[in-house]
Amino acid sequence: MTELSVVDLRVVLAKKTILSGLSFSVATGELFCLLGPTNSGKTTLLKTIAGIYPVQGGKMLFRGEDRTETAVGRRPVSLLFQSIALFPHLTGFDNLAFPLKRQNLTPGELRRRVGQIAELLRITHLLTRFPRTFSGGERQRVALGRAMIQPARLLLLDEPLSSLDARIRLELRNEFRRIHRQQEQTTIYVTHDPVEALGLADRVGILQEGSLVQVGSARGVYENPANEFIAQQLGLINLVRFEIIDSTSAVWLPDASVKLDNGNAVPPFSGGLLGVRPEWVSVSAAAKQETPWPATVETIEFSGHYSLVSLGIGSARLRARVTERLLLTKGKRVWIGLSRAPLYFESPQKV
Amino acid sequence: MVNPHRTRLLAAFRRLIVLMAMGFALLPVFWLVSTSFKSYEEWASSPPHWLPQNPTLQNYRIVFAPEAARQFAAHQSGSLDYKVSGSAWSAFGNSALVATAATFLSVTFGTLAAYGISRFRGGGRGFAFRLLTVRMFPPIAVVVPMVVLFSLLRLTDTHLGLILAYTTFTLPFSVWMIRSFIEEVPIDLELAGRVHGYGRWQVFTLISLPLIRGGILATSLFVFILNWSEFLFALVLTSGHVVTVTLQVANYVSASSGKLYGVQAAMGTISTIPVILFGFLIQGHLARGLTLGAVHG
Amino acid sequence: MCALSINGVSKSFGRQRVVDDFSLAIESGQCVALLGPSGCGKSTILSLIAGFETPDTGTIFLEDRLLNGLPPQERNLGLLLQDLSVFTRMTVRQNLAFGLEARGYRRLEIARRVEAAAARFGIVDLLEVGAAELNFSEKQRIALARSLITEPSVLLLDEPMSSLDAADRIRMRSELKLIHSELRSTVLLVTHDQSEALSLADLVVVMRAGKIEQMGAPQAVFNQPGNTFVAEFLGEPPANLFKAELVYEGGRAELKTASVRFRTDRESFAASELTVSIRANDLKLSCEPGPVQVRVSDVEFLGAEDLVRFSLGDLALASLTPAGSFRAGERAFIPLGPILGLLLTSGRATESTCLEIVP
Repeated sequence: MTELSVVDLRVVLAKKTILSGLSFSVATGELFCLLGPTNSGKTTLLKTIAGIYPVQGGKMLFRGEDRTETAVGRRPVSLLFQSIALFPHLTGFDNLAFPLKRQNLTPGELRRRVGQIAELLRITHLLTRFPRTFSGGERQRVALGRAMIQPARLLLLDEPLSSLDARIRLELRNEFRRIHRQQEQTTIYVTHDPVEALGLADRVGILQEGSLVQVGSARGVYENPANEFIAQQLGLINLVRFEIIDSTSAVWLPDASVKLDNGNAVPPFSGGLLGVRPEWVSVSAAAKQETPWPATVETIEFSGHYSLVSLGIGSARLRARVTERLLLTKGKRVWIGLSRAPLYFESPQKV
Repeated sequence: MVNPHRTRLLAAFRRLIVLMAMGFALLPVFWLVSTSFKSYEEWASSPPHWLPQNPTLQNYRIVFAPEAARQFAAHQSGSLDYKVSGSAWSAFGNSALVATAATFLSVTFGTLAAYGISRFRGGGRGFAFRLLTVRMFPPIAVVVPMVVLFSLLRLTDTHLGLILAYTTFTLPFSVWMIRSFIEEVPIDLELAGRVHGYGRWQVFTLISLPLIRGGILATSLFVFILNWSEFLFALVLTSGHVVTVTLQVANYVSASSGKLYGVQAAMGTISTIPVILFGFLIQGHLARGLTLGAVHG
Repeated sequence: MCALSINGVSKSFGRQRVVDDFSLAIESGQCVALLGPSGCGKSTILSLIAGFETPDTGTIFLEDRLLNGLPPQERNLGLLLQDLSVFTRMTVRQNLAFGLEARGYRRLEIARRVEAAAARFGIVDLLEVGAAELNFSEKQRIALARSLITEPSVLLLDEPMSSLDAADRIRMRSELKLIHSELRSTVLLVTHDQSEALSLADLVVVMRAGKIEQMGAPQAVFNQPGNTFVAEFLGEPPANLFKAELVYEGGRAELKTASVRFRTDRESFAASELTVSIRANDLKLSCEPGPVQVRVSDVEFLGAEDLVRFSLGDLALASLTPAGSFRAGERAFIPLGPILGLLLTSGRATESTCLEIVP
């Protein structure tokens, strides 16, 4: 069942068009991730769905009902603000209970619901304390609990992990996966971090300057991005200009130093950008069939179980993900190849 | 590189300056209390006595017991200003009533107005500042129109009249001060309340108000001090029936002896007590920065 | 030559000891990362070096000058804080010139340095733009250029990339790496992000609760964590850690958990209760049937690879596999053969070992 359907949404704030022509839908129980850089309109979109901002065009349908004009507070949504917005004058318990106070529950029922969510998020020890004593991760959990305490609502999460330490971010992300699997609350999760989006989402939508430029499954968008912007949003990718000089092969610009024999994978346009993800670049110490092209090591970034090696080929620069324990030093000559066909993007301008 | 002796000397010098400034500020208060215990001869003695040589409670008796005042008048030749025939209790009562009521009204309307200005941009841009400028010209400039207006409305020499006057003149301060406290409450907190289904009034009472409580109390103290110590309008808008503490102090004059400094000092000393009390009572609630930690970034 | 030397520095705020007897020597041209969770004292150490706070005990030397007691402006340090502090009321040029003007450089020299910095940081066409109109990553570049323009002895960076978008962060990381290798400046970087520390630093100093847990080259700290905290903190995804007991079976040493047994190639051990650490990329999974079977509980798509969580007996483990190899709920197999692992004992050196699962 479709929980939310957004059709051709247009939002103008302070005379600037923030969102235009935005259309997507979210199925019940789905975790839909919205990925995009800052100022692409992600927060505005969430606030518009919640009813905080009015729309200048388009519709929003909640389970088929048009709620585009419904006042904020009357829509079946829960919003977790990027700023967290915990009530500092209320205890953890009262913060969590706040959304339920309007519902005339018996005190026993209220306590039960709060206790349930506190246990789920492992914040039972915070119920009697005040937000100013919480750590960053604890604050985030309580805010999440408050947003989740009404499970019948659509959960809107605005960059919930961006203010946290890298370590805590990882922990909470895993926890959220577990919680979502359990609760199956329809969620729209906004983030600028592709690793979060790819790891959590059932489906991903990429936002660029107020429009959704691609929507699909995580692996689908990652392996088939519609353009180079989307490819870059989803992770590191090397983009190199290319040109086809004869009917069978593509050549890398600008000094025609590498020729790719593609055979069947030739793109329909004669020039543009070639996209190669670092993990598709194979590196070895000697020339082999899989690694026919010579390159020079320029910089090595150690990242733990792999290293990101910047290689110079002619005047192009490629970053490769090297997992084998190769002995690489700056200036060393190595041989590279591609483990799969690159992506081709038609792009008239320079990168 | 850095001379430790020099640092210590600088610190001592700084402390000395601060002590001198404190002394300068507290000197009048000291004089006031000291004079309140002085007998008649020492009130305006030359050279001035810092401490009373024969401390007496006579001045305080005059303040609170009209009998003592009449005796005093009889004892010294000449008579006291007729308004002083009553005791000071009614003066304190009047001041208490007027100051408290005016403070309450000013802060209440001020809070509502400040919220409207802050969250709804009520009055257009710059309204809060324009309101403040109203208070910036000297009150004495409007004394005459005020008297005319008040007599037309038959508000002269009434408690209500003074309350209205005080409320009007302190309202800009209330709005200005409370507005800054409201601005400190992150709007996301209110939006969160609204998304959860609460109406604007509930959001105001459940979320905003508790968070600006300290600010409201601080503003109340400030406004209360203004009202309690106000003299000009108390003088001009009353004609003997409603006598506030400030007026009463001014009324301690005698035809022959001139200003009764000692009695005035006694009255002055006592009138500082309610204000200090108010300050002490709300001290614990003046928690600024209550909103720290609510919002990130 | 030692560019920055911190000796026995401690600092308490109220009753809390934020920095505890901290000592560190930084060589000229080195990039050192202070890595640790929030509250471990790393930012405080930066404040102490910069001169915004004074240490309760200890000394800080910049080359051979004692910094204790010197006000911040006389310390000749470059500072880049999290909030950037770019002066929004000035143009970019004025921002860059600010530090030089404050130090009394001549106009000609200022102009020369501003032009050079603009060229190096790619902001030549932004020089006359008002700083308030820049986007965040441009502001970051201005702040970085401004901190280096006075040619300080040491550049201090306080979590400079934590407020950036993921994409911008990676870009800035490469830029910083390039600039560091070009300028060979001495850099002290404070961060909570272990991948940042590993990729940028020559020396990683892992901190917790005001003390140094371990320090060394990135590869050294990563491959040879001295204790469980460092083993857990470094590496994304986190390493597989579990406790095992040393037993002897038929004369051979084995490490045993509740339901899994590992043969090990070591002969001597520091203790009989050990923590075993196996990196997710060292634990391989395959579809080929074998004696060691596991049940896949969850597959997380990471882009370049998948993180497959599975249970082997009582152990919950994770393995990095090529994307799309496995699905949740499926069965998988761990191929027989040596698995690289680490044995951690508190207070003793970490030993690496080759483990083999006993089916």
